[in-house]
Amino acid sequence: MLSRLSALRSPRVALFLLSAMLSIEVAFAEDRHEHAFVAGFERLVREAKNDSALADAGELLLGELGCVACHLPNDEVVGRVEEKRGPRLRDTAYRVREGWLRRYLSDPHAAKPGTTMPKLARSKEDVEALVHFLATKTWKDRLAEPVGESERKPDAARGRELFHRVGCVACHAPDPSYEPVADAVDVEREAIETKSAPLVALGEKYAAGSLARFLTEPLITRPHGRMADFELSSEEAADIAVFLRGIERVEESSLAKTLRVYPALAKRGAALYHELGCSACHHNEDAPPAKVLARSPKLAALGTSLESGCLSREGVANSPHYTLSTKQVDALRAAIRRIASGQVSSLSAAERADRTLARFNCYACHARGAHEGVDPGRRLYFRAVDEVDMGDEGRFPPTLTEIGRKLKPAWFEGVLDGRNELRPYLWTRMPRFDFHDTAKVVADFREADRKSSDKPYEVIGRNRYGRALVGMDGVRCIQCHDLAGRKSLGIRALDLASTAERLDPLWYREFLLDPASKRPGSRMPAMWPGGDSLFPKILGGDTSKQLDATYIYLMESEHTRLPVGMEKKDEYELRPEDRAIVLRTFMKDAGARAIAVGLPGGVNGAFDAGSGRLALLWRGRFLDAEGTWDDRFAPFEEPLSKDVLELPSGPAIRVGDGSKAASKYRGYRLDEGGAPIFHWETRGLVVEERFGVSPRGEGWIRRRLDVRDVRPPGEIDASRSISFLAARGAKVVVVSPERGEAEKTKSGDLRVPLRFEKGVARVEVDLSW
Amino acid sequence: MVIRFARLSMLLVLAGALTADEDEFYRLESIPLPEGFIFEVSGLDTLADGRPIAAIRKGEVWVVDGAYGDDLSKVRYTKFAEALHEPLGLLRSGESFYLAQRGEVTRLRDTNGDGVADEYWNVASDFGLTGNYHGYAYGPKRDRHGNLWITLNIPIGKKPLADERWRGWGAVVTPEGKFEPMCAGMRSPSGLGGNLEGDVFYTDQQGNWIPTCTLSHLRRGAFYGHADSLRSCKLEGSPIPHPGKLPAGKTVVEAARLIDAYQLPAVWFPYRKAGMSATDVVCDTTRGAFGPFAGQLFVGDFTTSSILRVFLEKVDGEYQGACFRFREGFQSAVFRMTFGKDGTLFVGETNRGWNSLGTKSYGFERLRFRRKMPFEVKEMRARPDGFELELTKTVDGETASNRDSYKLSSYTYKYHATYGSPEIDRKQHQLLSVDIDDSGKVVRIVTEGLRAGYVHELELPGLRDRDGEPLLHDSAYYTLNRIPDA
Repeated sequence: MLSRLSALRSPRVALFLLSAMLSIEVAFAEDRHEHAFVAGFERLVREAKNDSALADAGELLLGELGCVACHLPNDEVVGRVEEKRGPRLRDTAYRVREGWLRRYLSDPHAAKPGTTMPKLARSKEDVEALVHFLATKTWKDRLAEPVGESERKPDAARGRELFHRVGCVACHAPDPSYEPVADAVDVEREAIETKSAPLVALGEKYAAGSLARFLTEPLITRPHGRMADFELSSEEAADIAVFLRGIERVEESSLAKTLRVYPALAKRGAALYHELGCSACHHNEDAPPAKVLARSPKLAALGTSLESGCLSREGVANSPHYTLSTKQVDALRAAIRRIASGQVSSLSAAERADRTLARFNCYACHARGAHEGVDPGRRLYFRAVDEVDMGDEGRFPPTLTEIGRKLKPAWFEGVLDGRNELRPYLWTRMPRFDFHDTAKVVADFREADRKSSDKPYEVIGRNRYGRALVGMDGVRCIQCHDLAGRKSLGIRALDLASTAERLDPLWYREFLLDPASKRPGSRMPAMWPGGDSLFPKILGGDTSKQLDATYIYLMESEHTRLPVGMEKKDEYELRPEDRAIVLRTFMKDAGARAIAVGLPGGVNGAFDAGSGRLALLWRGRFLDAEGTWDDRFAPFEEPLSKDVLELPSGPAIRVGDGSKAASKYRGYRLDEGGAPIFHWETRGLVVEERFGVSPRGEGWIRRRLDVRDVRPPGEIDASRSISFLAARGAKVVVVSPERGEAEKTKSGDLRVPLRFEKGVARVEVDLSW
Repeated sequence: MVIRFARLSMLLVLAGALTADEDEFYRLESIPLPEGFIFEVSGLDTLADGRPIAAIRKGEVWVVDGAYGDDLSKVRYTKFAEALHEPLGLLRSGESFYLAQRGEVTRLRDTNGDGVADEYWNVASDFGLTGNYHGYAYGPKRDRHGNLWITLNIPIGKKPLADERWRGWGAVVTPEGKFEPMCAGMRSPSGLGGNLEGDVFYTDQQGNWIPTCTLSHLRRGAFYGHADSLRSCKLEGSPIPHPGKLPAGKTVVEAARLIDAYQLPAVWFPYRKAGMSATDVVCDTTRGAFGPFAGQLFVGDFTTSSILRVFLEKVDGEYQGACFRFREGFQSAVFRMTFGKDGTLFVGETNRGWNSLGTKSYGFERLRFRRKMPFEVKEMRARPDGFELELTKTVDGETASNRDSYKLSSYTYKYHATYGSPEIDRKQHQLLSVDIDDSGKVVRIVTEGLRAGYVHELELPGLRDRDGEPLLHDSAYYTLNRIPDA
């Protein structure tokens, strides 16, 4: 352990990794599976209210556990049971480590609790032969190149962040010590109700780089798509991999590297691979094993052997040994009984859709109908990028209720195939699952969600009325929604440019009339209240025509004029001409309480009321007020000129050396020209401060401070002189006191000593730089 | 097409028709603005002579002449102050004006009598400001002790600076000028207002930790639910000890039992049924000039551009009560309200940053009572075994004594970091008896199983007055924090 850690860059990282390792073990311990884990089964069985529902759940298992790989289904059952195959093994020699493979083949469930792979090896000899056989699986393509290690050292801390943000923990166990929000308030965590997909000893399993490689394109190794493709970049995958493995191992450690293959053993293993039935599930490259298929009863013929074979309690020699729960066995038996009795029909579209949702565990992220979606205990990991203020719509993937009515088929297919990424504000990504026949999946949802009253609806409308409605003279969609990549005027809700490409017009109309009916809890107002238009002058106030016009406009929005409010805004530059202009705003180098002053003559300054000092002076153009007056996100402003002088930090009036001095801003009064005279205090000194154009000439700025000493006499320490810190890196000419001179302090500031008369002093300087 | 629509919007049609009905009793008029004048009203009060004075979000203060006139085209605007940082309140105090801008509570004065402010004084600024756009400050409003109350929004999203001191808190500036943080747990506390007794309330808006919009009594030591504010409990001057770990997955009623300082609101505003984002609070001080609701509170709503009405009573010394819809159809988000000298309610509007129902993104309107009595539930009072309803008009005996005219249900909300909460643990209540008093204006309903802490929603679609007219608004939502003993 220590030698491994010593390779790391800093003690902090080492500490972190150590804690990461420990915490992962904790996570696994909490989530240890007693039996084969099938996410969809857990949900179906929880909701199963009768035998038929139990049999449905059993049919899911028949596919997910690979039963139908050996027990072939008859034609009636084919559509009801979708076979899930095992991973491709062609590059196993490079992917996994020798010790782990041996342990896994000896007892899959012990090595990886929750695995759906049954135990097939009968003896140590079998295991050894299979290990040698798999060591010959050295197929190589570009994926065999280690990922991420050449460009940047993988970063476990980043990997940990990504793991908890992009959606991994929708299915896998989160690290209990991970805090989704830095500096979060201490809140009890809701319990996680759903079991987590197993994630065991990845450091032991994967050879260096191979986990990262798998994560970049999981569907290549596991084409069944239960582990979805999150389109991780190679760097992201490497980061997550190093976090999950809990170690940074750089040496090559794959099976291919550590095992010297004995050809005879490998040959024996190759034979076993077929004989034991491995190739029944892992037959992506090899033909399925004819002998095993021949000796395995057909699915419909299993009705008489519900207590024997794979389903016997003790396990039978020559049968695969699964680790199943009682519930799983009951469900399998119910399914087989029903199939054997011949009482199965083909599934309706709605049933097929339900099974798709169960197989791919879509409910881990999406709600649909009565299904609630994200597990309450996992909700805290669903977050909005930059915590944008969009409520839950900014955190959670959209509901799938009526999804088949909502989305146009082509768009829906694109979503399922991993295109059409749409919600940049969600941390979670919509992954790609590989549904094989995406069009069929989409057709199922369309059929399932269709209402009997739905009829094709043709949208007819005029772009220009739609433009009026979408913009600030109408219902103002752009107040919250981006449009064709342009920022909305308020919150950054979904970009509307794809509206017509995405949304079925019927659904769109229903949604606009009553947004909460489609998205419960949505903050979107119903802009046609009661179905009535608030804009009688547009299309005669006809709600239906107005809805259509907005659809048409959004369809064409990328090729047409922007709506009112998004077109170029008015001129916001502030130009002081005959009077001073003051703008309070957030300002870079002058803080969130900046008071910017622009004077006629091109002299400007910014007072930082938070720290009670003049912070900046600049010559030339003043400021642009758009950010302050019109942008919801209120950026920190900067002078419109580069000719800026930053003034020394801390109060401009110092007692003694002025260390630890603070000043307090009291307010300002305006002079006749509208310029503020700032009032502030420091250590019993009351200061009035102003600046302006200097009569000394072009480029000179005059600062004047009037100081009153209101300290009680007892508190005055005469040895500590009072001075004015005028500037740094500028020419300073003292105007008053007479014959005053600026002296340079050790830190390079220009300081002018004050002369008090009857407790009052004035200091006035001209500055240029 | 029309047929398809009808099915979908049956319920909504009711709401739409209401605006016209409401107009029979309360007349809404838009006050014209000069062309190109962006008048996003963010603070509103009146001068001693009754003229409205408004702060706008751009950072200016304007006096409005002619706002009472019959001919609104004669309205004139005069600038009083400028260069304020998004002020979200305005309070006149003699010749001075107080307002909360982003970073400070400021007092404005015109010291040379030219009608324009020339002194901008920092009254309080000892609170954090991160530069996050959501770091709003609201107020002030004055309580009976002369304290000026302000509320500070929590930042949401990116925070350029780290200073979050007292964000999510209510605070006062005492008559001696001292800044004192008072109460925590606020999310977006955009409205404050006092009642006739001089107690001050604030509204909060649905979001994380705030399951639906609220009206709460502002008090020292209270915590209103939003967790982010608790960081400041560790600062010197905090009147609230840090409550430790917050519970999860509980109802607000359970949470209030588990967290000592957690004070449930006097009124919950059920989402969409009674607005979507509560704003300003104004007390009807017009002694009848604005209709039958003297002494009650009106609460603005941003998203639905409407005004709600609130009746409060004290049970065991604590405020609780009911909310009702009052007036819809404003042109934009109702953000600020103030009563003028003759019972005119001036309404200032802005919806920048979000959207709201209506035809405009900002503006200025006035609402006047037409001196025609609407049929409304004026008061809804809790009784040990039910409720007592006081109506504005005499009820029709037959519909009023029919138990089917009353549908009572109750529910509560979840206390959690998720945005808003559905209504949960819902129950329908059996009505056991109905009694009408001799005046014919007070109806007593007795029911089983009232639930302390729960919102009790009463629907009265069947109730009629003696002319056979239904209620102008036939729903009431009573927040029954405490069930009275007698």
